[in-house]
Amino acid sequence: MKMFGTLIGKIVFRFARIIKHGGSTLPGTVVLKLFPNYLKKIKYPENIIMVTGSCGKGSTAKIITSILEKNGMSVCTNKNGANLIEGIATTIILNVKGKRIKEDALVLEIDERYLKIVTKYIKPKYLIINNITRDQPPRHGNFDIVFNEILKGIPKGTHLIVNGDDPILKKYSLYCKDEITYFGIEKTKYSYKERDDIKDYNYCPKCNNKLIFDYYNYGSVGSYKCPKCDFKRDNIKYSITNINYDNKEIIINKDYKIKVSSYILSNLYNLVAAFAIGDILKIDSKIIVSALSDDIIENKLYEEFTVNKRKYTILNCKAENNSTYNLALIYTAMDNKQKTIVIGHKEISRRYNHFDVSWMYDVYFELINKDDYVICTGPNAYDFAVRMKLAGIEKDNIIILDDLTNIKNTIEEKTKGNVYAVLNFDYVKPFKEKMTIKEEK
Amino acid sequence: MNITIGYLYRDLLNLYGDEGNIKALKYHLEEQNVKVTIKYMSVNEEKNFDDIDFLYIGSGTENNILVALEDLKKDKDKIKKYLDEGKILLSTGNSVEIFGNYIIINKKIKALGIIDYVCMHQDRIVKDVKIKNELVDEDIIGFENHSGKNISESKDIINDGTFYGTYIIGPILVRNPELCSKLVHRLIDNKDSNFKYKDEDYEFEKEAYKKAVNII
Repeated sequence: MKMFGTLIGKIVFRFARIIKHGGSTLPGTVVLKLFPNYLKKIKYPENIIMVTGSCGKGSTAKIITSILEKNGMSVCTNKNGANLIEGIATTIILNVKGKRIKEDALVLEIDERYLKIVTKYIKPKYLIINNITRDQPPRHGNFDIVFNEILKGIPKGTHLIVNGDDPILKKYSLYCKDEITYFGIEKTKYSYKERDDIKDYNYCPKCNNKLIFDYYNYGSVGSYKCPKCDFKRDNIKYSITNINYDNKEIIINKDYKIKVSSYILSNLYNLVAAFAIGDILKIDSKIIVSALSDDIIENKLYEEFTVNKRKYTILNCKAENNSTYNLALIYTAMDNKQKTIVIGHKEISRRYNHFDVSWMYDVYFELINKDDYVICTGPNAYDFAVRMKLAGIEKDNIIILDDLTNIKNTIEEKTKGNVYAVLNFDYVKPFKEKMTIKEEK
Repeated sequence: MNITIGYLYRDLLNLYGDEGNIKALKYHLEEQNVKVTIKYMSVNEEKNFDDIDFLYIGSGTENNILVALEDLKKDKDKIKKYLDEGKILLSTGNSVEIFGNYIIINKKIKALGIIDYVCMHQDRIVKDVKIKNELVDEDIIGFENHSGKNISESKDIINDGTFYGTYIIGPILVRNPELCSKLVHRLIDNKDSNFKYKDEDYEFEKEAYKKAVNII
């Protein structure tokens, strides 16, 4: 029997398409207004997998979906990225048959602040939290606030799957008494003992003593232990045991070789998170490995190409999120030769109109060599230029462009070495257009 | 000339680019050939401000501010003595809550009581600011992002001559070149009133300021 709410939702969806409203959340908005308990009345599959965190939850949900589908399962998922309650409701409305979601699994990426609203109606069996980072501070405040918002959204009986290398995620073990599975990355040749960057989490959440890190992979993510109590990284069930950048290959739990397209560490954490859920669901490891190696992560974070014999790498970052920039800079720092960095954005945020540049000082631009060239571009070009100067880059090597109009000539005439475009996502497409690099699609 | 900067709780209170202030100060002091030493002081560490010329503390999560407050209680008299000697302390973001009489977050929490004000937590304040202040001729620009509010003081920058406290977060000295230059001069003049200054370079800072001050 069809539910009245579903019917209305589907009509709204058609209507929204006709008036070209995109339609990604409008049906959910309307239906939840009319029937606030709509989502409670649906019968869901047993396997409900939710992914939340500050970045990469969409990619992680996509990788998980791919693993399940390769295993022959049907999956209902919000792959359009509409991850607030209205978007989730729309996904349900468009997939429900009668009162049921008939697919074998429901995989949802959920905004970190909406988790507590979604889980009032839909109880996850598994919840993956891949990271909590500094992200859009005007919207989210800070990482402690995000931690608490997520905590409010974890219902009893949820099996958590979290990054055990990150002490802020390990902190959930102090509050959640159901099963927790940890994933991570072991010490690799890219791990380091000390770096003077700003770290989010340095103190034990149980006793406020300073955590001791055996090594870091980035930020305050690595292997930590409290010198005074039992809080520490342990029981990492799924981990990347080797990273081989030259062969574009990682190895999980010493046995499983996976080809990767992106070297960015956050992406590798997402892969091992997806491996974990696949294994927990008892999917054959051959299937998991083949799905992970399929290059299914859209090339959103990382692209490489050659223009006039110079190698270009685009590293896609997110303004107001220092970890995306830090991970990109860690990657550029593997290239020790004199190089060129292009940095900029069209706007700091799509959501609000603030002029806050403080996040630039949470990014460890000190990883750039003194004699590298840095092109600062966009509306905050001078703010970036100051940041570069204070990071120790020679002033003569700092080039300022108001926008991307002359980027190609500037790079070709005034700079040397491999080019790394460390750009906010809104500058990636314009940059490629100016460099006359065609979109693959 | 040597100048020693004391940076309180860098590993705990570093939420909104606060370290930018230290970087700017260091850069422009070194521009004058001053040798800069930075002393980091944090939780559970013995603190000594005797050889400190400038003390800085930045913003943190609501919980970390309370951790720092608890840790700093034993050093209250040392901070008072430091300020009485005419030396400068700059507190940005919600770290200003530490130095008032009370922080009210549901209940009343006793703070250091070094400066006479009370901060109360309420709805989060997130906004660009542009203010007039007696410290400099130009408007001071910045950003606020905090849940506390100073309920006894309407001024955006509390200034008693040696203690400077503001809810403005992060790199206030980077974004306000005139303020940074004034501070550099004061720190140097404190040590040597006949100091021969070299040219200072705030070219990028001034361009960034010009752009921002017209938008905010």
